[in-house]
Amino acid sequence: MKYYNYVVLTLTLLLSINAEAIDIIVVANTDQADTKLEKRQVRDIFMRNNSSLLLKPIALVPNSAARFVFNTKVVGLTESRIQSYWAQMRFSGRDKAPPEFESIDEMLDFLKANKDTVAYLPADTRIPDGLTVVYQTN
Amino acid sequence: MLSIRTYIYLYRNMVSDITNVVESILLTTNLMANCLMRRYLSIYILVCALIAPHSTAFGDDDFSDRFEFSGFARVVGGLLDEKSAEYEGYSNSLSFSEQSLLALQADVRITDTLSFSTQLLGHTSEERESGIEWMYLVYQPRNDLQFKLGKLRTPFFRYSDIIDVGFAYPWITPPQQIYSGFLFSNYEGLSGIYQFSIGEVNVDIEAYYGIYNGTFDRAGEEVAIDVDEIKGLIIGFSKGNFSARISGIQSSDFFADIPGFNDFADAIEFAGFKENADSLRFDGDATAFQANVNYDTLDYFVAAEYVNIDSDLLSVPQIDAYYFSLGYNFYPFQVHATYSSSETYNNVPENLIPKGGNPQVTQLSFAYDQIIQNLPLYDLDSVSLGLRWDFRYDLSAKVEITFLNGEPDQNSFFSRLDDPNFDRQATLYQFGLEWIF
Repeated sequence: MKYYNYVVLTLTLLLSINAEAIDIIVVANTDQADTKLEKRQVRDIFMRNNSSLLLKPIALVPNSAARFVFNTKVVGLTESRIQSYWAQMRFSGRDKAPPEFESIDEMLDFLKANKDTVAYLPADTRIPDGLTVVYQTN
Repeated sequence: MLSIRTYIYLYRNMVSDITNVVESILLTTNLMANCLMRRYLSIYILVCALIAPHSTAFGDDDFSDRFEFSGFARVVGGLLDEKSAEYEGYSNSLSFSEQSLLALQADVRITDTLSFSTQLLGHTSEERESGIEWMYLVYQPRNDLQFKLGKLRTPFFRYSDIIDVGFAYPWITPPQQIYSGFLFSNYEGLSGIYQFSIGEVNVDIEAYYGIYNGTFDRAGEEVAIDVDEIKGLIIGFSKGNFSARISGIQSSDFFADIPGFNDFADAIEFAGFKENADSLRFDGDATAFQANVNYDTLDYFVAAEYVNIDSDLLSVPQIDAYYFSLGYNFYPFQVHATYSSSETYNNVPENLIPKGGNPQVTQLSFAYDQIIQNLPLYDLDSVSLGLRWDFRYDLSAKVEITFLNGEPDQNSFFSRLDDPNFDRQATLYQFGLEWIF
């Protein structure tokens, strides 16, 4: 029964989200308030394949709408391909996926408390003071 | 299906229940200790020494921050439509015990720059050993620099070091022309990775060095082997959804004990024909070169890989192999097609043992010819078609059909060749469930 629910949830999510219609913002806790990133830099940070970009990424759990939009618009890969990528990284001892959070509130709390962290959020999220929007999809 | 479900349930409970976590750590430590006592005592002492000064912090620190458990499992069933041969262990009757496996990985953070990882693997195949597949220390002094020391997986080709993690690639069985296992799955030594960027291109350079004592799978036949030196260099490039990798490996001072070869080599050498004797001994060099490209998008992927293995020994053939793969995504499904091909030949020295003189020497000469003629070759063309269904982000189901077309007088990666009339054409049907946790 549990499985059936997961499948239904995934399908409902897929059918109900039109990634093109939703925008996300990428928000960082950084001292450099004028930081602006390009899409490829955001992608590199979240796929952790460029070590000169020093912001530490955090992510939402799979099946969240903002994650789906981020995968589609910024990374350009399916969730399955991203999971495969991290499986390859983890089980070959190279790297690990960014820490995952269940909710946007938890993510914002973590962002506020930790310098040099970065996360993606729905574009209509109210951004607390001290955080900087470094990228926005359009 | 039911057992997997039960497993997930148990695993979830385990994570939430700290007592069980402690128990499983004790179990893992116990298993590790047993093995370590035998072979890795020094690493174990080092890890204990490193953990000990920090252990008082465990009470304050979030326990799960220091210990991370993860793993992967696959259940694969398969069947070959051929009575007179086997392919990758699959025969004419349905088998679940060729590729099914379960692995647990523990990562322990010792300090901010030092960590320890180990992976326990339980494999159903008779040709694979179960136990500690790897165990190493990671030292990461900087963001762009990583060193590993211990028992590591060999990163020969694109998927070599995660060949057991079926979830990470589209196939059930990766192209055997490349991944059949002429090489070995792990080594003892060290590796270093340095990461940098040139413009928009991200570059990874990895160098590794080590030794290997154990067995290797000579296309279905297990052979004892000693490698005194493995040297490898990998350069990886990525830009957006494009990635490429080139690598080179040299293994020197091989010693492989293929039954019969060494005794016969001694006999030839005793008769005074050293060059021919040496060709039968697996006591020389093998080098491999690899290149692959990969492009992934939301809708499709294309991938290709080429491998060349060159050896001056008769026990490992020279191999040229490649595959070309295309896939189409209609999430949560993916269909893919792969064409793979291999050509092999043996580097045979001229038979210098004369015929017609001394009858014993003549007999040796004919026996040498016989061995050369019977050296297995592995030419094989194959086409595989597969469907992958990612019904959960961490679980996927796959079905795959592979059309195999080998050479009638060759081994062509088949084993138990009972019928000389078998034309080396067969079809492999497989289905499987891949899980990461």
